[in-house]
Amino acid sequence: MLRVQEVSKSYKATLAVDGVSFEANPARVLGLLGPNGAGKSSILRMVTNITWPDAGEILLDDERITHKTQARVGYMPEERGLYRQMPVLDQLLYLGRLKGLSGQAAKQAGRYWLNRLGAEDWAYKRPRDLSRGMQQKVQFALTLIHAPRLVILDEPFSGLDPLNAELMEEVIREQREQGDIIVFASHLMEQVEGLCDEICLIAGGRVLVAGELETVKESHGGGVVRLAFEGNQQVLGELELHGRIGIEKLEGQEAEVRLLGDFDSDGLLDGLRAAGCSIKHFSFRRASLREIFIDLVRASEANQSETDESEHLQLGDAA
Amino acid sequence: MTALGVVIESEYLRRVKSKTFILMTLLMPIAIVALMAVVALVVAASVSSERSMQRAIAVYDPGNEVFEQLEQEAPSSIELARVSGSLDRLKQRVTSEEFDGLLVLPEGLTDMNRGREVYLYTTEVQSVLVEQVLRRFVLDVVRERRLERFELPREVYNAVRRGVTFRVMELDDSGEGDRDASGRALGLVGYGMGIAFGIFMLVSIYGGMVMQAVMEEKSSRMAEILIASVRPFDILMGKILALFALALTQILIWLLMILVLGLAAAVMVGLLFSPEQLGDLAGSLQSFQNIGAMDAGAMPDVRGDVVFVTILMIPIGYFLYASLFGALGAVFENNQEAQMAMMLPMFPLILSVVMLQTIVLAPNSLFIKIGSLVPVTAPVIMPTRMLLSDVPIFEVVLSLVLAFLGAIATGWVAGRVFRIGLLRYGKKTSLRDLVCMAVSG
Repeated sequence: MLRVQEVSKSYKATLAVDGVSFEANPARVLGLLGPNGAGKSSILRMVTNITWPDAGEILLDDERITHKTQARVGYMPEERGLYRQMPVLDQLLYLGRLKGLSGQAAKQAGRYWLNRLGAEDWAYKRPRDLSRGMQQKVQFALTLIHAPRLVILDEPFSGLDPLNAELMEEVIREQREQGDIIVFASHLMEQVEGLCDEICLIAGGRVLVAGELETVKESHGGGVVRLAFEGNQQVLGELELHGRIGIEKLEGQEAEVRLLGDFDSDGLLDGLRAAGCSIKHFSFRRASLREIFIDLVRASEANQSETDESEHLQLGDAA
Repeated sequence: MTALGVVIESEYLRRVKSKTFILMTLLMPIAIVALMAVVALVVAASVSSERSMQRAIAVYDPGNEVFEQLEQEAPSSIELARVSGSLDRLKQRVTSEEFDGLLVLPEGLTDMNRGREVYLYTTEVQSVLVEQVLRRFVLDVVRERRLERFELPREVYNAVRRGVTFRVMELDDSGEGDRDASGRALGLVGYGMGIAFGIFMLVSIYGGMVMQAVMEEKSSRMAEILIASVRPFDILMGKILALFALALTQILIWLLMILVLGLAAAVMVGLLFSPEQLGDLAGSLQSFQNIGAMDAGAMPDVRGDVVFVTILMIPIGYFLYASLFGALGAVFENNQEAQMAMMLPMFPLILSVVMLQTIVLAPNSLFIKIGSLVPVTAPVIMPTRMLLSDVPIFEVVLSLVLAFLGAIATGWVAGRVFRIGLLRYGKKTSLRDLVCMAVSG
């Protein structure tokens, strides 16, 4: 189990990670989500012992992260790299041995992964002769070659065509079956929804929400209603003003609105009827992770600026 | 195998098997020999063509004091013609290329009591040969004419003409044995230059390769994966040590090549020449050597302790500079910036080569003492200084210890800069940032 406890990290004046805690469990996929600059990569770099937390601690199977735990971690960074001139199999061999495999074992594992990813013909090619997608497969093989306990993938699908993305998802699922701890960072919510068992949503260096994907969707999701109606449109504006709904789209007599808080579809129906609208279409669906993500991030940003303002006021008073 | 071992092995094998290395190693000695041969041939050819070129020199000798002697003793390549008339007109005959030069001898040239000036007017001032050959033989002739005026007995005359050889003899501590040490200082400086040049090449070529290797990992974005796998210090040290091993391999191969080629050459000479011919050859070589400034005494015999210190200083100096290069390679992304940054460590290295000139004049001056103790210049300065004077043993030890500690400290700081530098992209790095990296790690 990977346990991140109250971890903080700052670079010069900026606080990149602010008291973050979460857990990632064996045979589960954890999605680490957040907008750009949320602190995802900073957290992953601490888990891989590239940098160290200023406060808090990170434990992998109850052992603090040090250079000794590095051999049990497979890391595919967002900025991906390969030696341009070195044949693919040699790169796998080198990385495998750096991670503690014997030469023989590294060669076997390298061949296995090239086969598994449909890249066996590239063993002696150099990355400069490979397409981007091919390079990405090689990087994926580099990440898994030493059969790591913890697999960390930072934006693993960026730049992949759908077929290869499918293949990679398949492999990730296999690794999950084998009991690996899998953490992947992304802002592509569709992929996260299909693959993750748990999520941890981060913005501004803080955890906004964490837990089972389904639980999070239930507790934060609310619903989305598509409707078409005839009558007074102002009722929607009023409901939004009172924080009951969020208007996503309003075109003529068609609208898409989010139900906020505990306001439900019955409430919306009642409201519309009370205003004398006649309803032509009304359909309800659960909010997607993407929508939850946007809501939560916006809310946290709004909160943040409010706090900033009140702090500012307090300072003003003191002066 | 430890991670460090894997890095060393991989970096070493990757390079030693590369075509560039194999080609460089095999072709470099051949290229150098070929280059030297070409230079020697070109110089020899142009000198001989210069020598063989006939030059017509007009001689204006109003007193008719030395013309006949000049004509008798002139080298075969110089043809002299007596002229008279106004100097201006004579000069015109030179510019119109009727003559290559006009030698103007004053009246009373052989006069005992007065110094005189001889002029050569020529359009060929760039030809060293014209000036030197003419000067030497004109002065010789004038000197002899002056001596002749005394009507000295032949023995006196010959005695004056015979040269004097100045020799420096070195006494050993007991004051008994002595041996010829003429020109020794010059030879020692040559040796010092050799060490300096060797360290300079080792550091700039292989240290530069460390920098290149680090920059490659940074620009190919391999760095993050590597640092997520092993300690940055292991990566940096692995490269430094692997490239040192590579340098040793190359040097070893070159030594073997020299040995084999030398043996082959000796066998060839043995087959082609009879022993008598060889004796002649040796004799002519000997006389050739006596002509040059370097005679037997100039070949430095190098003391064991100097060799020992040199052998210790080479890896220490390499390690120190390679660490600096490695750290710089981690900080800079593009080659242009890196080239500029390379000047930073090159500066003390160049300084130490410049200091060699001072060593000859004052091997124990404060400047040189400091230079032989400061770790960045000590690898070049200390061995040379030891050759030229007796350096107190504690200074030698201090210099070695300081250089060693300096190398360790540089390696440690470089490791810290390395880790942070590798992960920085797209930012210009100031000197202040460098210091921050070294301090905060």
